[in-house]
Amino acid sequence: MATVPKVEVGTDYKEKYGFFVPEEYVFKAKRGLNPDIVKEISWMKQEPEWMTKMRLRSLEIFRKKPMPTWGADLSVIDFENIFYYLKASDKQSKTWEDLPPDIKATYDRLGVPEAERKFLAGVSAQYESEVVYHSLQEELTKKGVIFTDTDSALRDHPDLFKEYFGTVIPPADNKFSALNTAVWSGGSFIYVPKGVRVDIPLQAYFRINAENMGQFERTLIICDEGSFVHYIEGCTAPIYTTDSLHSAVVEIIVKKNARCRYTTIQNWSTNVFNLVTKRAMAYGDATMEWVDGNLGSQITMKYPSVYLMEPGAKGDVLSVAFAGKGQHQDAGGKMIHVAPNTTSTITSKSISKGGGRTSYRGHIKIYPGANNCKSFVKCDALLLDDESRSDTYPYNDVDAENVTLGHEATVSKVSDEQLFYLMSRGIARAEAETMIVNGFIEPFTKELPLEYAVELNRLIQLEMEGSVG
Amino acid sequence: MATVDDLPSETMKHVDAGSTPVCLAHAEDGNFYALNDVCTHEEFSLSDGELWGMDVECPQHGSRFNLATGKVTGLPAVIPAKTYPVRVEGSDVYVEVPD
Amino acid sequence: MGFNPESLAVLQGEPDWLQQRRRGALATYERLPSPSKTDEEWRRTDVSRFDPGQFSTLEHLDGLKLERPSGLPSGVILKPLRQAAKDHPELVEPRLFTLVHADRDRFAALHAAFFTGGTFLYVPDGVEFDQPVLGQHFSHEGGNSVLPHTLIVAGKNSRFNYLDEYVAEDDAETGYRSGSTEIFLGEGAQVGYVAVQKWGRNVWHFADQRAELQKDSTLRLFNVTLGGKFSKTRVEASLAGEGSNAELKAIYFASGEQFFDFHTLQDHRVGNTRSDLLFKGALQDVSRTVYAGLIRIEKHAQRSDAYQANRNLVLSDKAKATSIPMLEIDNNDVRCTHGATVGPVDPDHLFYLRSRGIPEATAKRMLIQGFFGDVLDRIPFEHARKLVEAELESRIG
Repeated sequence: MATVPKVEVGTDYKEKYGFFVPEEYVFKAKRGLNPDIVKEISWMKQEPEWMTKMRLRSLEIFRKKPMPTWGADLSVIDFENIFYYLKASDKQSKTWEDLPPDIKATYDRLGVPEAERKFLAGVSAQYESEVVYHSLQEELTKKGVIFTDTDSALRDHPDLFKEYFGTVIPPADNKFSALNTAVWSGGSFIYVPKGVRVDIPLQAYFRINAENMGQFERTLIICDEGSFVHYIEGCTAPIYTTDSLHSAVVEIIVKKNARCRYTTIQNWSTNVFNLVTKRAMAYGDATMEWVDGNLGSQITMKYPSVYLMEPGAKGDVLSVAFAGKGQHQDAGGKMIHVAPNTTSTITSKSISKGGGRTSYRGHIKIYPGANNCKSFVKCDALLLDDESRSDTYPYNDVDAENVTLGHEATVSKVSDEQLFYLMSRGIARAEAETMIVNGFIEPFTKELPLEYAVELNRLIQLEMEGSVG
Repeated sequence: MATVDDLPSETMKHVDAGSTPVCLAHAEDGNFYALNDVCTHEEFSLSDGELWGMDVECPQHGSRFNLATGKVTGLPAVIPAKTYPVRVEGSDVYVEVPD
Repeated sequence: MGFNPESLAVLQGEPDWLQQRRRGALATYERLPSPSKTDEEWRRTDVSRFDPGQFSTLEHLDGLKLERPSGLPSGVILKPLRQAAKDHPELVEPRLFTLVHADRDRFAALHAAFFTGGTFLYVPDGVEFDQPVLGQHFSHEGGNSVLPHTLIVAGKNSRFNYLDEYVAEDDAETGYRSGSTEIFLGEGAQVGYVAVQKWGRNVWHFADQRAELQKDSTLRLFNVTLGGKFSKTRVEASLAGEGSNAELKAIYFASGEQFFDFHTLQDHRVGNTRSDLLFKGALQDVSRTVYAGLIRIEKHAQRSDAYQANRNLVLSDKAKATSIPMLEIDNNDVRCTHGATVGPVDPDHLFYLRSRGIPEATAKRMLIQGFFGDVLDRIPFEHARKLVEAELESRIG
């Protein structure tokens, strides 16, 4: 394996911090967070000065901002005990065969090549902090579509990058967007030119694979006028014994008449803190759709939002959360109606089991002058047992005329009648419950590409089995 | 309102014009600019924030406004800030705020 | 000027325990900071321009006008609260400010330190009467504080209705107003409580209405908010006994530059309890309203039913309505739904009425009446219902 600029991390590093093998890291920053680490990351990546400055400033903002006092309990995160940058391989691979064998083995287990064979346009699979494998169908390149990792985008498309980076989610937006901007690494960058429709979903696989490792990918998607793209992000992670932090920022700009769909199936191992900021801006008659499934992690706090900037813009969030033992899924969505004649819907389905906790947290804001808007929010929660908990926190602010806003929520259990009916047909109780849960989240699954839908149903089944008894 | 000496280059200051809170900025281009000090997002004081080129950035959530036009240059704010004309006479800085 | 230990001196002739409690509350007031925009409860509710100290003259040192229903059954105690504190300390002392806590925030503390007018009603076990008790709280002049407090104790299986009316002589008055209520419902008690707030249009009003319900008791609470330039009301029911049932209703009508804030809580502490909340409001002109309500089903509160709805009719493009209906459900054997709507007069309905030759203004008025109509019918007794109907009539115009 070739090497990148060498950084002296101290000869006693391995003894002191216990590097984990078999993964072979080219560079692994020290634990903890300070301006030197941030400068080192920026230097390693050979970034322009403005980015180094922005990182340092974001670090300062991160330090100043208090931890959120609402939502999940985050007091257990020890920011000084986290690695802020890892790079598993020093070069970008162009083809699957070029990948280092150990990484390839990991992806094999995740099924990446198979997925690619089926319908992938390109793969941008993330291993540790840097995108190591990346391919894009020639056809797309011809159309002018850029699909690359975010680090390369900064290098290869500096003007496009600088024009949009941090404009949708500024570092000061919240504590974790500040952290991400300070130490971001990897993530996807997509640009779809005017009128171009990308017919097959673009996908990236993300993975955390080191103890106490933070992963801070940064994704930026720009859909130019009249274009269409569907981006799919799926996450899995092996289980480690100590906590990991995943704190991504996703910024999306959907220009006039364009449409963007962003699908996530989040299945981090249950020791991961998943604190993500996702926001899109939709312009005239544009459509932004977030399809967001949260199954894994110990704590997730994530509220994909859409700023509806011009008349005719449309925003959708379809959210599914599953919380098993020890998990807290604090998820939802936000719709900010800036312009008149904009519409939005949020549909949330949550399931709590074995003492798990799901919270729906949402915000609908209709700004003055954004007349004739429509917004509808529907939250359904299913509690599978006595130990579990479900919360609903919808914030609705209407400052305009002729707005129709509705919010409905129900909390229920698996009904005895349904169970009895299925069991009377000879179906075992656990299986019957799984069937009911799969039925409950069907509005979500039917929006997924088939293989994801199959995978999701299988995951639900595993979750249901895992926590039975 | 203020004197030139109160405001070194690339700094801001809160001043009150009657009941209107004003953020007075001495920008990197050497000129003075004035805009309503209340962020249109969640009403925090812009003058407590930072200057970032020709933008002022709100300290609370990072919304950005162009100093000259008041235009939003970064979310989460979406409503432009009101701007006011500024005159410098000798070492005095005057802001014209309509009633 | 200002609220300080010296200003407590005007409250002569009170028992020691009460004076002590007032001093404690005043110390709390002095200790607590003003609510800040970073507190979730106050995020949309701006009190930075309110200085209670400028209104530190107290009105109603001697209580209020009490309309005693004729022929109150024997054993019923109905008198000004300060008098009752002297005459019936055994009933008042263990309860006063135990539901509405003085340390909840600065304004609750100030109210507890300086409450003046107000009523004490005690209805013994098994006593029932039909004619409602009417407590009228007048403010006769502006620039001062009127801070009445109502304490209601309903004995086992008692049944009665009570109406608190907060009225200003001069609609343009300024000042600081409150109107808090504590209701203790014994086993099987059935209490109807109505509060109608129509202070002047320039006052700051803060109210905490809280009830605790024992086994099989039923509360029907109805809040009407019309007055004040600023009005913040908390309505809270603590369902502490199995089989208890709380119905919490409100209507509000905000116009001009009025700002209304409602925070509600349906706290299901035990199982087999039921609560049903409906808050309906209309907004005109440049008014603003905030509704934030929470249903909490605690861990062992199985087989509880809870409903919560907030409906806002927005009649102007400058009005702003916020609605935050929240759920915290810690148990799966429950039935729980909530909903919120914010919208204009239904254009289809308007079109229908206009197509029948009804002028737009009249049609709109009819639709607003219709909007409030189904809640008005739920006001638990006729006297209050008529009063509120008349008030709404005059608002709708």
